Amino acid sequence: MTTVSDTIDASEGVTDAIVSARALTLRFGGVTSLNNVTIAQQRGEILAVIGPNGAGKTSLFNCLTGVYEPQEGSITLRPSKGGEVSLLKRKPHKVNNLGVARTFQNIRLFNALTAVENVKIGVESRQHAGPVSAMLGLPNQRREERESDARAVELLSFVGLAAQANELAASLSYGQQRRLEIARALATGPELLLLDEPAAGTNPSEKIELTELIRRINREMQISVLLIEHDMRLVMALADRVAVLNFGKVIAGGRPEQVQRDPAVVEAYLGAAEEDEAS
Amino acid sequence: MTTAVRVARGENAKRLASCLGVALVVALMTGSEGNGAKPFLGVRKSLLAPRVLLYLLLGVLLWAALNGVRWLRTRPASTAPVVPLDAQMAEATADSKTASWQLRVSAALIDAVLDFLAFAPLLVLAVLMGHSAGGYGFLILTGYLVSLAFALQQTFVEGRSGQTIGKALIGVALVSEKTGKPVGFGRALLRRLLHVLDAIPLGLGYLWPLWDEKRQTFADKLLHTVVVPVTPNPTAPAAAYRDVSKQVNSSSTTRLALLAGVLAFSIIYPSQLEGRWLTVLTTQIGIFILLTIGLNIVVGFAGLLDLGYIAFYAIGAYTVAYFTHGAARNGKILYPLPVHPPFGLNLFLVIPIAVLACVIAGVILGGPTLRLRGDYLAIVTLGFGEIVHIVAVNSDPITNGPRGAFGIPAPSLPYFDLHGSLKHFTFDQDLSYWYLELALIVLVVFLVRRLENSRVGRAWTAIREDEVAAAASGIATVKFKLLAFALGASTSGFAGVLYAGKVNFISPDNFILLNSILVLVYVIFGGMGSLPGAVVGALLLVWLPEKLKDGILGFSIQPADRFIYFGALLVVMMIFRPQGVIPSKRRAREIRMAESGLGGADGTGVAEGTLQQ
Repeated sequence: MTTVSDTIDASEGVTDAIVSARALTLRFGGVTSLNNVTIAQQRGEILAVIGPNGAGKTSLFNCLTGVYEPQEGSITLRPSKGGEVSLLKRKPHKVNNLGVARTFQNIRLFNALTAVENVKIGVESRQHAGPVSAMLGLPNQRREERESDARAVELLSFVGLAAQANELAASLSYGQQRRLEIARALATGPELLLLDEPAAGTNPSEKIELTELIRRINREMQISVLLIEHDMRLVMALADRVAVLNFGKVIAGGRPEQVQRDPAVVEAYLGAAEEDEAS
Repeated sequence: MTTAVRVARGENAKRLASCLGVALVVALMTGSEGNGAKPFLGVRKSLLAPRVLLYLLLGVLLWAALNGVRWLRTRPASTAPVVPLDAQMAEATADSKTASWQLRVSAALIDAVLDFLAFAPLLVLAVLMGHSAGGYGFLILTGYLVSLAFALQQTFVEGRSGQTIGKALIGVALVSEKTGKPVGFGRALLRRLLHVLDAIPLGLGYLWPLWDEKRQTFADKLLHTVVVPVTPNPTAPAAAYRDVSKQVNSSSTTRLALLAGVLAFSIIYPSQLEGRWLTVLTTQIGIFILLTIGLNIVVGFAGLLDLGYIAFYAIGAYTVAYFTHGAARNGKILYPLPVHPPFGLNLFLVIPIAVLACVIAGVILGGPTLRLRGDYLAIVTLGFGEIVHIVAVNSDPITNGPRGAFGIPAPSLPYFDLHGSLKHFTFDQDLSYWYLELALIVLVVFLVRRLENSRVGRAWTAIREDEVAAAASGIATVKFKLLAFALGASTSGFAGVLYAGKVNFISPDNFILLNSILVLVYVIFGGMGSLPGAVVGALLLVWLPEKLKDGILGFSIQPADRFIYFGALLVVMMIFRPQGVIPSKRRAREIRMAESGLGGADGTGVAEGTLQQ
């Protein structure tokens, strides 16, 4: 086993954090998935979290989105409208309502619904018409339905799926499904978007499109993006900052080119490469 | 006007005449019997009674349905030069914008006159038939007033004068959807007539879509007419997508025609049924259809397995027993239960109370338990069903124990007869009760259908498919599951009210576990998540054991053996058609994908690697 350096603070230099996690520790029985992780994201930046398989990246995502509850530490969200909210002990849908949307590593679309319906579900989680309005077809429900239609179509064109709007989610290609999941996440109107390995399983040309899409989400929609990714070229092209996780600890953080040269990172990756040939 | 159109119109007239002829023959065939000595008695009673109007109406409906189908089929072959709809719209828009108020008023007036001409014969006929036809006269008058109000509303409130027949006469804005050309006088008139029919099935149908500029009534769908809007639609691309997804849901003319046919059948056929089957229809089939629709919301839409569903049915029925009482006999009022409030209510007034009680019970049960997944929820609801049953059996001083509650009165409606005196119409006959049930079933189906295609229905689908992803998309999963549970419970309670009002006697035996299971079987048999499936499933499977009592295909069957055949049918069905008789499109896809290893068809989704909840 390689020697593991001590965990470092990946929140240095962050002046206006949209989300900051302090000293997170998450254990499953005897396994420590996250060990004293401190990380913060600057508002408006693209932050990439990298690390070998099993380093705890997805666990970090699950803690941030309320799927897991860490035993120790704090997570604070600072929405742009001001104030601070703790994301700990919040149900996933509450976290989403606060403006944190995510995608999944293994794509989780609603397969029996069409692409446009998938996106509408995201839009509609922000709407208010209840069952009575729906049953009676009251004007507010009809207005919301039109808005949801319009917004869903708009987002589908944004991610380049306008032509597939009425196709079943399950019938889309892998890359299209990835983009549809991003559109569904965007539909909930987030300030922070968590992308869990968006490029996994996509081909090179799709990767280029995806890089462009993430950049547009960041620049045009002013959404902060927190990205888990194995594809180094994509990370280097996109990320403003990179944090590296290994065995549940942050072992490096900073600008991409800086991190690339970090001896601890090189060691972690070479070690991982010997074990399972991962990148 | 080209000759081609004129020929088509002649054909239409012929077709209408033959439809009406068929209607008359059917009226004669299903009418009361004459005999050799008095051959004209039967004819007179069948054709000169007010009921013939119903048949004629159905004839017109049949004709409209046939025409709808024909237009749908022949449209592409149309050789008429097609004016682009955009150009038409622009022209018509300009026209209706510049239309002066005088023009609008005259259009509305022409409309009113045409309406009157259309309804006058029916009105005269009703008046001629005297007070026995009062109901029909009233109906027609109401239809006429609604139609008039509709025309005026469109003219003044919406400023879309083009929708009225008057405007159609002067050639603007009432446009055929397929060709983009203004429709002819006959079609416009028919459309107006059908508008009145719209008002009947939709009940208050004219009230809520008033503000919606995209409203398209039954008549418009049937006749493929559109009214070009005054303002350009800002969400046009979205509307285009919605249209496509509607096609996926196949709300086509054929479907509407089928619906009208089923409705007509369920109105006419029961009146020909003999006593026993009519009783089966009202006390079992109608009630179980409602129950199945309710459970379909819980199991089919939201994917929650509820095995104690019949408990809510019991709560509804006992609520009726509590709030109602029979008429005084020998100065003594018979109360169904040992406990009662100091007043008695009409059954119709108990409906909201019972529905509310069931919603509360559903929330009390669901609140703590809906956080559970799949199997656990099933066990908890199973327990709840048993608790309610046992409480009903054992609480002698409140529920009258195993003896049950009797003397529950039939519902009645007050009305004024033609002399202005107040009367009560009591639904104490099987047939009238069936019509009441039918109306309520149609209402419930209509409401649930809208729910299914709304934000709420989509959220349920999302939760059913993948609860983790649904929560990550911002859906408050517990809230929506609770909603499904409460709505299912209230439908069940509603059915309980109707059952109590029909049989006038309830006992804990009506609310045993087997009934919960049976309703679940009907849902699965019909096709989970499918409304027509729920109706057909309940209908077939309630009918079958009853039919087996008589024997089937000439074989007589021991009544005790009936459920063997019932079970065999279920086994065969689940092997060869697991998605149900009329599967919902979404569910069928899920099952297909589950078979090919994509996603899960059960309520638990494909959750992996998640610990919370």
